[in-house]
Amino acid sequence: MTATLTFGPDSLMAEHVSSRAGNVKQASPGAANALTSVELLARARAGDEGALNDLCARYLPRLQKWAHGRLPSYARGALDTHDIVQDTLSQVVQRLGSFEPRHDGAFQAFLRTALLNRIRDQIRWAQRRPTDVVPCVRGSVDPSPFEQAVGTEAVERYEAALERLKPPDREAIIARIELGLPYAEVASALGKPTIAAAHVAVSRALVKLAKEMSRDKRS
Amino acid sequence: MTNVPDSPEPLSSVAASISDGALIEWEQVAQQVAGDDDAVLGELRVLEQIAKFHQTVQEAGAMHAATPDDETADPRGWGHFLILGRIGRGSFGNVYRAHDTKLQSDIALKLMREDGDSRANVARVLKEARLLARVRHPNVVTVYGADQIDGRVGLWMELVRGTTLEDLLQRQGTFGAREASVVGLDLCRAVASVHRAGLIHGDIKTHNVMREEGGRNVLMDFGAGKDLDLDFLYAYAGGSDDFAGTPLYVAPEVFSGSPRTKASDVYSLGVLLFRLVTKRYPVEGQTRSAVEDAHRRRTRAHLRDVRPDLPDEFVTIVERALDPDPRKRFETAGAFEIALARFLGASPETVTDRAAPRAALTIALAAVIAGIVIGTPVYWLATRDRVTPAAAASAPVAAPSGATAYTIDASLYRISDAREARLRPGDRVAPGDQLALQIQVSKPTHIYVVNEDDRGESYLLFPLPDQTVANPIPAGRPVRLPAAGSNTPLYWKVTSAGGREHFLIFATPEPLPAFDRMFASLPRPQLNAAVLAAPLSGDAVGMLRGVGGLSASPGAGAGKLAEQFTTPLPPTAESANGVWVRQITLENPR
Repeated sequence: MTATLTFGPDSLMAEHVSSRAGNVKQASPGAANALTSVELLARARAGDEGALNDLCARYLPRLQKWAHGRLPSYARGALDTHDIVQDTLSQVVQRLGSFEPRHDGAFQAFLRTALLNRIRDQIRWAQRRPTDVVPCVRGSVDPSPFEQAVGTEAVERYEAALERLKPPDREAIIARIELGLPYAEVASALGKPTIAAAHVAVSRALVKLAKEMSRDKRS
Repeated sequence: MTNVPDSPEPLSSVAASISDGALIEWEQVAQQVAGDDDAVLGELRVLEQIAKFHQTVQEAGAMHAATPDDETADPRGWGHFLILGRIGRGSFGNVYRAHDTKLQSDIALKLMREDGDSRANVARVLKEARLLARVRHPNVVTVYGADQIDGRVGLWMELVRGTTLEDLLQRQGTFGAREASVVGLDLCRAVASVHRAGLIHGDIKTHNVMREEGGRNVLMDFGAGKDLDLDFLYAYAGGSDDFAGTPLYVAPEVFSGSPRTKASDVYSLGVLLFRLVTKRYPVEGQTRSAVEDAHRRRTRAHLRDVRPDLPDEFVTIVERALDPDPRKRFETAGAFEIALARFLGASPETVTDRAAPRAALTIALAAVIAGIVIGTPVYWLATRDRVTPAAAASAPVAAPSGATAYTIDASLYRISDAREARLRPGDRVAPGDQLALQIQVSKPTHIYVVNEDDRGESYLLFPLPDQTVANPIPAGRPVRLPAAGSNTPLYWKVTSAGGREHFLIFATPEPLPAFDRMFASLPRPQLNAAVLAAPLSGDAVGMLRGVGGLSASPGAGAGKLAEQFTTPLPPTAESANGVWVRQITLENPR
């Protein structure tokens, strides 16, 4: 077997932001590369199918895995996770209306909320629907893989606290902790100038989130 | 909402570890926190579980097997390296941009797939590392080390920031003969150093050469040819990128079963040059057997037919490298290099003699009193005493015959205390550094020095009024720029950090009024006054491209100078005809 590697252009080419006096213009990481999701989104809304496909290609794999962790097995039914995610993505694009995400992180967070709502609908639908395929008792709340791993109560506390965070903090958590993006992409998604800034943003958001969660626990 | 402007240190540190997926000593941390923070720490522990769950979900092959295309399988760290993002993908693993947390520097990390045959992987990677470590050359990627950590094998090397020649070709179109030859010179040197180390590269192709910002061409990846057999070709019968790319560069005798030799590397270099100027291959085919068949039938494209506009000498050089008979090719990469250097009008002796001690390093050091400032361009008055001049310069390199031929030897220096260091493309500068350019020419020459930043903002560094040296600069002796002005020698001083600084040096023995007019339009630093930089007009850049004769993509005029003129400042004297343009880019990070 050969061991050939192809090096592409570095996505962090613009990591260092020049600061020459008299003209300070910030370059965002990755700006030189492919279109941002925000730009793709604008094109998709204008009817560019290629842009919609590119958006799907960008988010489907991660969101699919994310959704897989949130969907209890009984609720999956005939509609698999892939369809749910793809469907949600295309609906989000169509129904965005006047929502103008500031950057990719905002779009990711928006998408995540839409997907979570869709999964909750799916769970409710599955619970109402008598079925002999999945031997579940009506009204039972079989936990999702996420709830099984972390505990239902902790998940509720987490979701509620996450909801109360300021959008930039919420976006940092979603990009890094939930979707597992590399720091380079987190920086790009959050509009941070450097990897170090993205790292700090995620750490601070985690501390804020923990404080919010502990407040819930006390009350 | 809780605001956390200053989280207590242990909590921040724990949060950073959660984000990095690093191990946390919870008991130890618990002893450092008290009161309300105790509850927060408890929730951070929950968040660690949440982060781990998502990490497992994203990386798990159990739910959705990670495919080579699936970047969610990327790890977050390996040993003491923090993975920052993927920059390349190979058949056996991926290459990441990573941060060496011990040395605090960014490197390129090549990690093998976990599912491979681990023993074979270990052997291969360690072998590759050993091969690479034998070669130290500015045009060959530098490997730093290799290891097996947590069962996963990897090697780390110099992070080369730039674009592959293939990407450049796709983006900018075909190269001119001169620019391709400049690339060829670098690669001949690189391959010669590989051969000197007793190795055959075996996988020279446009995908494997990086054009670094600043112009350095770097030969990458020894992963393939190295075992010197053709097994890898058969392994790609499925038609992966490797298969599509590699056989097109393979010499015909290798298809017939001969071992890879220096001559087969020379052939691959010839294919690379052919591709740069045509965007095609001399022998084409969709499959390995189609390529082999074309070789057997001697069906190939000739450079003269594809590009009738190219200079005869260049065509002859490339065709010689591509001769089906290995004995008729250049015997060595060095011989290939000399031919290219001759075509470029350079003296082969000065071009090839890279190891010769540089006289420029011992040239008399001009006293430095005042500086022109880079970064925040304000004249700066220093209080440095005159430094004792060192030894005199070497004899100038003889100019080849021809009315406009001349030699030019230019070097950029960093001066600190009584010491000076010659700067190479990609070197780092920092606020406080003092820079000077030293030029020696064989005939009176007009010199223009322009500083450009990453945004394309430029200003003129030379010629400036009130200096003891004006254009044309005198021949036969080293001249320091910026030159002394009324007993106040000057230098360029870096005052702020951020981004990169590109220096472009233009030279012409004949006065060019258009040059003077154009450069006169650039802002100039003034004593004790701030100056705002401005980009050159598109017309001006277009004109420069035409005059320099080094245009990379005919047609496009506007753009940053440093992107238009990518030929790096060489380490030795060069022979030149007409206008000579070289650049050097220095890193000036925060």
